[in-house]
This record gives sequence, C-alpha cells and structure tokens, in this order.
Amino acid sequence: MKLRRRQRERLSLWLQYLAFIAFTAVVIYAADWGRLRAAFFRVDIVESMFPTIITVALRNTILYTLGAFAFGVVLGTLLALMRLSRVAPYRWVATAYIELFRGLPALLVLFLVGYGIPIAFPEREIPGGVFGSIAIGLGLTAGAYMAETIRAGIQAVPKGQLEAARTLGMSHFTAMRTIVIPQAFRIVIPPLTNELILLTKDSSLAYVLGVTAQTIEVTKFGRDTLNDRVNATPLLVAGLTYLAITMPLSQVVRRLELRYAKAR
Amino acid sequence: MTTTPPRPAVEIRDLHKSFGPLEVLKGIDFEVGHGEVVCVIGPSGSGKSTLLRCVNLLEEPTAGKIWVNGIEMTDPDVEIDAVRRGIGMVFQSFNLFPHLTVLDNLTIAQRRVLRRGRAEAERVARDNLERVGLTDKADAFPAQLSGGQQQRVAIARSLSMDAQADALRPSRPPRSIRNWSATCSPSCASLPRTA
Repeated sequence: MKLRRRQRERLSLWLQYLAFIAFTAVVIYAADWGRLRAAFFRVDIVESMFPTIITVALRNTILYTLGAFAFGVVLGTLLALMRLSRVAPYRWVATAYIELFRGLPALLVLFLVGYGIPIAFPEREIPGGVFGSIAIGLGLTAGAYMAETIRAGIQAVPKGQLEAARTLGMSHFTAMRTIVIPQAFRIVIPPLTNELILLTKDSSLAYVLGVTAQTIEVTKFGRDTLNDRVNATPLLVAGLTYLAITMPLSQVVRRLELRYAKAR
Repeated sequence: MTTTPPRPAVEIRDLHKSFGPLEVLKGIDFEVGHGEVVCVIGPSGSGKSTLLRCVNLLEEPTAGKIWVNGIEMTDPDVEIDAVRRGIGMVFQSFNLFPHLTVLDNLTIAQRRVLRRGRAEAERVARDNLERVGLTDKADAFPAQLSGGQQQRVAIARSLSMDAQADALRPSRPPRSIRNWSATCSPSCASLPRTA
C-alpha cells in the first residue's frame, strides 16, 4: 500500500492519540478506586482537618516562610554588597560565609540555631521563640543563596547607570541605593521567587524544633493527623495546601514582572 | 559678583591617559571659553570619549591637570560629588534610568543632590522638558521613547541640575541646544553649566 507523506503523518498522529487514550483507559480501569479513595481521600478526615489546617498550620507556614525570606533578603543584600566592596576583608568574609552556608544542609543549620546556640549561650534567648529560630535558621542558609543571586543582579545593571548617577553629583551610596539596587531587584525577581517557593517547602523543617499545637505548620500537621487516623488522606490535603500558596504566588510574580516590563 | 579675570570654562594641560600598555591620550592641551561650543572630532577609538570622561573624572587621568570653572578636578582633595554637579554630560548611550519615568529621571538628582523640594524639582524638570519639546512624555518610561527622544531627555536631565543656567535660559534660544546635541551626538558631550 502506498501512502502519501501527508497521509502517513496523519496516520502516525492518530495512532499516537489512540495509544495514549488506550494507556490512560487501562490505568483507570486497573486502578482500585475504592481502595485509593479509602487511603487518600476520606472525606471525614478532610473535614476534620478544617479549619485548623488553614487557621493555624497554613498561617504558620506562611509566617515562617516570610520571616526567613525577609531575614534572607536583608542578609543576602548585605553579603552581595560586601562581595562587591572595595574593602578586601569584607569580600573575604562574605565569600567565606557564602561558601560555608551554601554547603551546609538547612536542617543542620536549623539544629544549630534551635539547639546549639541555646546550649552555648544559656542566658540569652533568640527573639521571637520558635518563629525567630526558624526565620533565622532558614534565613541564614537562604541568605547565602540570595547573596549570589543579588550580586549577579547588581552586576547585570549596566555600568553607565552608576556613571550617569555619579555625573549628576550623587554619592556612590546614593547612586547605589536609588539607581542601581532598585534595578537589580527587578532583575532578580524570578530567581528570588524560586527562593521563596523553596523556603515555603523548607519551612516544613520547623518540626525539628519541637513545634506545639500553636506553632505547628502544614507538613507536621499532616503527619500528626496521619499518625492519629492511620490514613494517608492528611498527606494529600497537606500537599494541596502547599500548592494552594505556591501556584498563586507564581501568578502574582508573573503580574509583577509584566508591570515592570514597561520600565525596562 | 567679583571681577576676577575670566578663566576658561574648561582648561586641560598635558593630559595623559593610559589603559595598561595602551596610551590613549598623549598630552592633550586645550581650553574652552565660556559660551563657546566645541566639537571634538576623530575616528573611533581615538580617545574622544575618554577625553570627555576625564573632564568629570569618570576616568582617572594618568597625568596632567584639568580645571573646570576654575576648580582643579585633578586635585586629590577635590569634592568630586560637588564639582560634578556643575558639569553636565549626555552619554553616548544616554544612560537614562529605566526604572524611573521621564519626570523622575529629571527630578531624582535635583531632589537627592540639590535637596530641592518635589514641587520645585518638578517645575524645573517640566521647564526643561518643554525646552526639548517633550512635555507630553513626562510620565513615559525611557523604554517607551525613541532614541532621539531619549537623547533629548538626557539633555533635559543634565540641564535640570543647575539653577544658574536656569536663570540664563531666556537668553539662550532653544534651537542652539538642538544644534549642539545634533552636532555632538556621535560621542558623549560635556558642557560646563555655569557658562
């Protein structure tokens, strides 16, 4: 049988559609839906998790994330400026810090802040309790990553911008603060969004600090409910709760970028 | 006003500038009088931009002396931020601030450096936008302008920095500004403000 090229292509396309539909149908047919629903979607368990998962767990996840992010951005900006400084010791300190904290697991740093520091300095207390420890513990690591991102952003601003600002009589500091850094932050919005989403998930490490009913976050809440009910439903709910914040976040950032696109 | 003998607006003596082994400026001498318009012409890579960048110390000269309005730029103790305010410069690539509107491009240095209030800075800015014929673009961002419009904004930004030039404006027809910018556009142009 002789087919023209166009016909052959169309046939191949249809065969692939068919294969895909057949595969999906087999999976749907073979799956034990009753069992899956019993294991992952028990409506009574879902209902029992509300509203606590939103009013306490999600709230805490967001708080921990924002705290760590804010701490990380401030630290990262400082480290980035130190890395670009003309003062050599500043550069050494910043480089050493970044190398160190990028290489350590966030979990280890969190332990260090949560247990190591209180043991070393028993008379001092980390401000903000669990929240403070998590914000600082996660922020220390996040700041190291953000420092490199922000440094790249500052270096991506054309040199002429600083020159133009200096030519108008601005001091180096004013020029950096009003001209270079605002532009650098627009450049680093996408990579910093990544960092924010990573932090949202890393906030689940909070459990190692021994959270209470008031300070519990989404993952720990899901795990506790899992232990309670001996059912996997809480994990599904916890997962969807994370997606409920990370996906809108991506949208918000896309909007933000569109708004700034005009000013590029 | 004191009646000291008029010094040239720009005075350059035996200016040398090297980039590593490459000697770009090999002993330049010249002066520019007040109100004088000078064009520096030469093939690309001959050091025109380097010369102008030396005038406000964006490049550190290797040797030689530069005075602008009687102030020695090459003096190590010179208050560079203060002196630069008196020197306008329009860059080859204009270097407008892309994150600010045209109006903010013109007001930011007035406010941060000259400490003018918002209202006064905006009045000066709008005056200068009118001079370059871009009143309607005050709220646009640089990326929304054509190259020629960007250049005119850069000129207006430079002019917005000086109150004395402001006072002199009526005597200087706007057309001269346009001619000046057209003549000097291939390179960056520099002029002392207290002309």
